[in-house]
Amino acid sequence: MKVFYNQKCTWVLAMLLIWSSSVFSMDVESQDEEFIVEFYSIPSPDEILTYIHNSEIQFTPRLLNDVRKSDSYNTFRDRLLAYGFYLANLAYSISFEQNHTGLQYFNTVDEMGRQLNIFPPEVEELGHRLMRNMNQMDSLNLIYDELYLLVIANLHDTDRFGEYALISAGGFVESLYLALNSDGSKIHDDGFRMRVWDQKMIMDQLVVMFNRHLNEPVRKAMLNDMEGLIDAFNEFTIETESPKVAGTSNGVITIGGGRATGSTVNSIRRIHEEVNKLRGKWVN
Amino acid sequence: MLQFFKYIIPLILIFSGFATIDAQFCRNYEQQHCSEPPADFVNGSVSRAFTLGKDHVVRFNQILYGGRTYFLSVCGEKKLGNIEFRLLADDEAGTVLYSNSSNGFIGEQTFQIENSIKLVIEILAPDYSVADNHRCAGLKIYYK
Repeated sequence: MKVFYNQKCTWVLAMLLIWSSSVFSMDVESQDEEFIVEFYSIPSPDEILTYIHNSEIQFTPRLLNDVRKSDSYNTFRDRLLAYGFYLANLAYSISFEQNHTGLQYFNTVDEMGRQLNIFPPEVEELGHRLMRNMNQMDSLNLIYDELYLLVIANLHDTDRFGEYALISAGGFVESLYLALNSDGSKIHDDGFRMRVWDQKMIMDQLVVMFNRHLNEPVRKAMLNDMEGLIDAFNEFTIETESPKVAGTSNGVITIGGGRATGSTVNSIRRIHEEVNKLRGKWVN
Repeated sequence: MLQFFKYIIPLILIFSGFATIDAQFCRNYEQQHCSEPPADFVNGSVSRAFTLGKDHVVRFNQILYGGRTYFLSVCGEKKLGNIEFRLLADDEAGTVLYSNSSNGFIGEQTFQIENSIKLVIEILAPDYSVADNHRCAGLKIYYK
């Protein structure tokens, strides 16, 4: 009788679980009927840096965050932000062909990535390739690109969008800091200033990502930390034209609009101050 | 009761894993299947693989920098049929700036961006009608 009771109990539990899993599947299916998957993408530190500095600044190693500090970030939020700084430092070193410095930052990014558990298994192969091509800057450049894409794809595939938002925020602020403070930085040049102002779109996108993907205490902490920088970017409030197709030539479609005609370029003094203040706070 | 732990729990663990296998299973799909850009383009930070299904739309909220030229290519498993990609303005109306449906669903297009803008890239498989089954697809974004 006891055996019968045990078997019956097992089957009842099994049926309940099968029923509950089918209910769960139905929920997914019903969502699938009109399912929109939305991704928010932030340009990599490499893209931000090369866009702003446009090969007009000089490599300034004193600005880089010390690799020995990588163990000193205690909270998960701080470690993810720091991961963004180090990715930007790596991109900066590579863009100036600083092989030795680049390798130091690659090792830091590699070690922190493992500790943060954000790497997919494919990263192992990247490490081996790097060891085989140690002295080739092109290889380091390509490996950086691959590493970045693998990490971002892994975070997306595993629904870790909050972590992606924090890494992106760290990379964004560090990229701005490097671009604005490097020797030769043309912060009074109209073209340079306009390229800095363009980063307002990233700032706005980060705020959307924080609101969507961070838990309340972290979201509040991020918005609180970045309040000054958000305000500084909001000083630039001119209305912009909606994007439109401006023409097609040789199969290439030109998209125009996006900027008000005849807009003047505001000073970036306050952005510069806020970037330095925030970076100082986060880097310690 | 022992049987419950012995047989049912492993089954639950195996089946619950299926929900997350999809996207990871397709990783790097875009690198292997989407058209290559001309040699002078570099990989952007958004190229990636994902899954598409019936009535499924994948949207990328994307920032494109002014003065740059972007090469976009999309691809998907044959059974998905045509893959449509649209470029939408980030305005309230969601103005469609480009759709490859008016261009024979060609899988690639190059765009010259005059000023930095925020755009939405939407990707879907309009002819795919198999419910409950997602398949691999990918998007490549390169720039110069």
